[in-house]
Amino acid sequence: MSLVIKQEQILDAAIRRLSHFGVNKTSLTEIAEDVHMTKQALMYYYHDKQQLIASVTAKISGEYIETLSGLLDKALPVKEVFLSLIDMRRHFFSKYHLLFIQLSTTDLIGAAEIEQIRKETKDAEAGLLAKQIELFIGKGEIRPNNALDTVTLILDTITSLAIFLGKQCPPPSQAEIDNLIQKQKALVELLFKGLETDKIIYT
Amino acid sequence: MAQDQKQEQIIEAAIKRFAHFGVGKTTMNEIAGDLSISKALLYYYFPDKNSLYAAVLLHIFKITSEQTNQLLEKEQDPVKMMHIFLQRRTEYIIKYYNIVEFLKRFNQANLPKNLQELFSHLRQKELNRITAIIEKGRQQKVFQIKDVEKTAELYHDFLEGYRTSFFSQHPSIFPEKEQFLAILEKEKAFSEIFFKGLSS
Repeated sequence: MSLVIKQEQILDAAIRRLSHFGVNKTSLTEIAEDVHMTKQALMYYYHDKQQLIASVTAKISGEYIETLSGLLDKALPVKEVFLSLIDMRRHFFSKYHLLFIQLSTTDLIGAAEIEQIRKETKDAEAGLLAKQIELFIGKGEIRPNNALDTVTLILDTITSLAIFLGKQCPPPSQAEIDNLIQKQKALVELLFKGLETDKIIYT
Repeated sequence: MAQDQKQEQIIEAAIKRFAHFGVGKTTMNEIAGDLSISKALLYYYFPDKNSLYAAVLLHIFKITSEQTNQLLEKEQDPVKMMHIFLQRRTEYIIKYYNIVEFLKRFNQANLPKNLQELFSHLRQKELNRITAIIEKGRQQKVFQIKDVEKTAELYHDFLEGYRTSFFSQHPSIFPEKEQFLAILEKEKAFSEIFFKGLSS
């Protein structure tokens, strides 16, 4: 079997375990067993846990940015972009659960490589959204401001509401998630009330 | 706070953790953390993980059998009652799979004493339930049997044996829901033949 296929299999198994059990409660041995390998064989493909987690992080980050780009391609009104972003994050949360929480909120194991990917993803996300904001500033629908600062502020506030997800014993109940999404959306509505000019017309 | 109440809280927090992470991956520290109580207080209620585990199993068994009772009360036909019983049993195993799975690490030789006692208690309860259903069938003259208890035991032995052999043939880390449902189908099929044999 080709190297790439085997690597993909390992990544998928790792994502499955990490999503459910989180980084600290997943061992390489378990992942190896899932793909019917010895730990030693697995370590031929990934030399240690950090390297594997870095690959997992890269894969999910790539998917995240790709999904976000797809969302932006839809040319939604600017507020809708952020409301959809909240739904999109919810989707990633239910798909990757603990892994998504750990990738977005904790320091994981502090490996430089993982830290780098996380930072790049965060920057890419903010950059893409800032471009959108600028577009709407150009149209006069959003008050002139530093787009990147504004986006960072919005994202930080949305994320801060979700911090509790990492602190309690997972999984949160459906009601808790609904409640969180509602609050996040209300917050976006509120922020955009301050950001939008009178020029904006909702149809 | 009343002692019982605290104990119940601990059990519920433990169920939440066990159900998600499995028993092996859960630490007493984490459970104490979830409840914001000290580890010392937690150990006051449950001196070790096995005793907490036993309490959790008993707790789950109690809630589930109450719910099953309510369902069974509405049914008169003993064969259908047995199907309800089997169905519920499967549903609970699926729901609490990560908790039940912990048992795999024990065998007859290393099973802690408190779990041994719990199991013989639970086994007896389950056997009693099967006996009650078969007895009902006998009274209704649906089943022609002399020894209700022996028949119930035979039936119960099959259930245990069948499950054990199924899982040794189909090993997997996260048995899929379908696997349990497949077992349930077989159990129901067996049930049907078994009770047909008892009917006149």
